[in-house]
Amino acid sequence: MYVKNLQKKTSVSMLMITLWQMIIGSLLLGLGWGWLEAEPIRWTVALALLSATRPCWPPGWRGCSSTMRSGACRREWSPWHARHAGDRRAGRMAAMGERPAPLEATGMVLIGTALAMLAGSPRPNAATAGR
Amino acid sequence: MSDLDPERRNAGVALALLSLIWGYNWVAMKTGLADAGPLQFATLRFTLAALCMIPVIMRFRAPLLPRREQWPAVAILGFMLAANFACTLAALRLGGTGKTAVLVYTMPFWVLVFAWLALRERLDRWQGIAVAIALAGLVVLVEPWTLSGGMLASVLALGAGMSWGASVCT
Repeated sequence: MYVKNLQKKTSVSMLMITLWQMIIGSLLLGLGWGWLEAEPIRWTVALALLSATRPCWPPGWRGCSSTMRSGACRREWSPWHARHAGDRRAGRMAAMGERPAPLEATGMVLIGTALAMLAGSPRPNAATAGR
Repeated sequence: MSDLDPERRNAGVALALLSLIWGYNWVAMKTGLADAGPLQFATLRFTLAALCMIPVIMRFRAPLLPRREQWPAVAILGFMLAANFACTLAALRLGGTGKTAVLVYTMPFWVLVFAWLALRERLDRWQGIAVAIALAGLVVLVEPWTLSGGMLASVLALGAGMSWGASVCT
């Protein structure tokens, strides 16, 4: 919202905003690490590779930025977000072999239904920006 | 398909790519937490990601530094990001992947609530019903009446969704 409002007045780089968001975020998380987590990291190849999944985001952010600039987010971004949230959950649960309890499954279905309702909502809403 | 303008087509491809990467990201996070603490893992990932973004920014010839008036918002967004991922990864370590993910992805509803409170955006009837259904789902999923050990994981995951929602309203 902030970026979209600024973009009305002047050009704002989403990539630059994201970079500084990450820098400030990692500084704060690093402080928390030093303060709260005394146990050392177990350095493994898997951990190194898994830590590297995050850098795959810039192309995605580029896409988000393009979508927002083209004005498509007003009509398309929020439904996309809601739809893909459902896809992601299904993929995760399958990959980890988890099976929710009946009550948990009911809650998930209710939240999924509400997300689907937002995705199908004819009016553009505030939930139009991503992570 | 052929009359789709290139910018929209590229944006669509990038979004599809993001969705695939994003989907597997949660499995990677849960696996990575076996070797590192939530804050350690989050710090590693964001430091590496920030370093990788610098050449991307230079490639697109975007500015590297925010202007003075942009700093307060950038600082708030950085704080929200840290809060969001500290809560997400701590919840992921304590609780199940699927349940944590569902609770974190209540973010759109928090955006509606925060936008209503902070930006005076009114909810239409459809959105109001969606928020009510989501809240009912939330209560059923968190099961606050049990007061079990899993409550902390649920509360942290909800905190992550809320801080994510708040950062959207910044």
